[in-house]
Amino acid sequence: MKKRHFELIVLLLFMAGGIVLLRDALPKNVLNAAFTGEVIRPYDVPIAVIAIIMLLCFVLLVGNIISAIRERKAKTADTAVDTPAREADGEAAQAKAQEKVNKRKEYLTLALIIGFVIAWKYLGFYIATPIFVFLDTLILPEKRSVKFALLSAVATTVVCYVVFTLLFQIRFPFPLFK
Amino acid sequence: MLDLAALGSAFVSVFTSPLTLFFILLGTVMGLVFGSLPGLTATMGVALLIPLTYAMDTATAMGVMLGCYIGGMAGGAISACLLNIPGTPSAVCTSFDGYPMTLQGKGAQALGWAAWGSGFGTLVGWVVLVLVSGVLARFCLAFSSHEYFALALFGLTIIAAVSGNSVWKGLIAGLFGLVLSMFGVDPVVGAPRFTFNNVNLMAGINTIPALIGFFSIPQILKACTDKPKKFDVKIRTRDFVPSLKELWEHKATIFRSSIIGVIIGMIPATGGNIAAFISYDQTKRFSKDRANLGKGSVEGVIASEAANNGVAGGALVPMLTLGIPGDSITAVMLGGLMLHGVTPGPKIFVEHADVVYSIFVCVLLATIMMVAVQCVGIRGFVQVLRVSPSYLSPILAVLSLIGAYALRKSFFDVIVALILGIVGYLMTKAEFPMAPAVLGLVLGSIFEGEFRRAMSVTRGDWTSFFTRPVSCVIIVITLIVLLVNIYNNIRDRKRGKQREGEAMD
Repeated sequence: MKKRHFELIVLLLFMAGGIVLLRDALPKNVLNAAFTGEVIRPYDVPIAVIAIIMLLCFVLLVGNIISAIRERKAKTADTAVDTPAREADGEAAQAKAQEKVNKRKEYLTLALIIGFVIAWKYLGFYIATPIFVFLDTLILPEKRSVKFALLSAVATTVVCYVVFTLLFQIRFPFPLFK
Repeated sequence: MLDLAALGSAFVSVFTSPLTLFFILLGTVMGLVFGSLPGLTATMGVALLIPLTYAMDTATAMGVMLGCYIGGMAGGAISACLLNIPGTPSAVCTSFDGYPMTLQGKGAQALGWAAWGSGFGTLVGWVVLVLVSGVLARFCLAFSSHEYFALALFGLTIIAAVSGNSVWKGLIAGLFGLVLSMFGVDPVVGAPRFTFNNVNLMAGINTIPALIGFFSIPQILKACTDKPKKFDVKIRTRDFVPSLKELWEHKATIFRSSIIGVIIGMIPATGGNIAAFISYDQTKRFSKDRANLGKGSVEGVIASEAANNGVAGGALVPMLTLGIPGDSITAVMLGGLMLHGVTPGPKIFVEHADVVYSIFVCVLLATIMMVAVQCVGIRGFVQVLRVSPSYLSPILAVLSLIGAYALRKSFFDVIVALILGIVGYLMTKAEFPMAPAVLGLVLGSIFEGEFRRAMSVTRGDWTSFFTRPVSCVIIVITLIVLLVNIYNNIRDRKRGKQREGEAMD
């Protein structure tokens, strides 16, 4: 995915979030006017700020779309000219393949972090942590080592227990045993 | 008036107590550790120490808490410089230049300058604390809603300075942070707002989980497939202990940033993060080398660290003289002081002069120890760079999420960190700057709350912002700064287009 695609996702996310918040705020602001007597009502400032965000997002979105159309036109014009077929550059192809692998690892790590949080909620911190650290340490490095992943998982969990639970008295709930 | 005899007596008393010296060192090290780990804050460190200080005498108790405070404010720079993950919100600006310096193989220099910048910042704060506490405290107490709003408005103009290449994206990110600060309870009326019937949202979105979400998680994902950094095996002392000539070269930045930190620290309910952002912005305006700021400039590191540690000295001024905490950490320390039977306020210099002067001595000692420990530890800290990020990333992810949880022992904060982490990751990929979002979140409640209180008190009279001298001056400065920014932006774009045209010719 290119930067432009991420831009589109973020702008649409902000606009969608803005709509959700405005739907919550606008009816309440009308009600509040009758009761608080405040010069500026509780939702006045949030509504104004959300409206500005949505406007800016809309402007950037339109700019994004116009740039994408221009780029596509320029690309079409380029390919219309006869260009000799290029052989794939070996190094460039390798770099692209490595980039794909790295991106996959990034998304997997994100998925594992989400899984870690879910597991923390339903299984408990001291079950979720070693599983997460083991799996992530297994998939990320180029040279995979089950031994090292296991060691890292156990060490991280033990250190967290000693430092946070014993020393700093930060207790993590253990829902599995409730 | 400063009683030199009492100060001297306090020096002798502290120096002749090995236990006090040991606990100040312990507090400083603990503060550095807490500050460097994302999510674990100096506030938490001091709060954990209070029950342990029950059996100590007052001077030792204050020494250990102050050590933790000063160490905590400085510790955020360690992870900010080495990993691009600010340990504390006040170290966000440190990462702008500290991390690029690490990528350039100058990690030790970045940490060294952060340590010395922090040291000088606290030292300037200490001088102000010792010499002029009473007078300045009364001035800062005169700040009302109008002045707070003006300060927050000025703070928000910094969004342009920390937005990098795209001011529009920075503005959206800043406003997004502002909206996040509006979740929870309305600051004036007290009614729930944007809570969607979720009791967890009543407390609003806390800065720490948001910081972890915006900075830690995207950085962990970005770096998880990086190769370990190569750097010189030999780190020389001159790499992290600047020469007198180098210190003299940066004297303006050191002094200006420290003063900004001290002044902001003296204003109740502000803190190191606001001071660091304002200081960084001002350095960008006044620096002769402003083109390099954000690309690995020493001045950027000094600006942020001197300011956030200057806050330490400044925040103690209203805490001791008026019983009003300058920031969240001094709020907790106030509790610690009262536990030992010392009531801060105007009479403290009369009733507990020995405690006050002991505090002065402890601040100075903690500062020296903070710089010394960091200089000694730098050789060890930079070894983190040898560890492959792919091994470090899972551990950092766990520590970051623990940090989000540990603040309020609330799993909801972990969910907030995760959701904002995903949003932050998408924003980073789309090249939205994250610093404005943190700035908006930090300043949002002050900006909206004080504006509405000011309008409520004056029955909607907006001219009251200009009839109050301090508020008027700050707003006028803000408008000038904004216009100068816009002018510079337009001029730079024209020059850029001209250069492009010339290059094509």
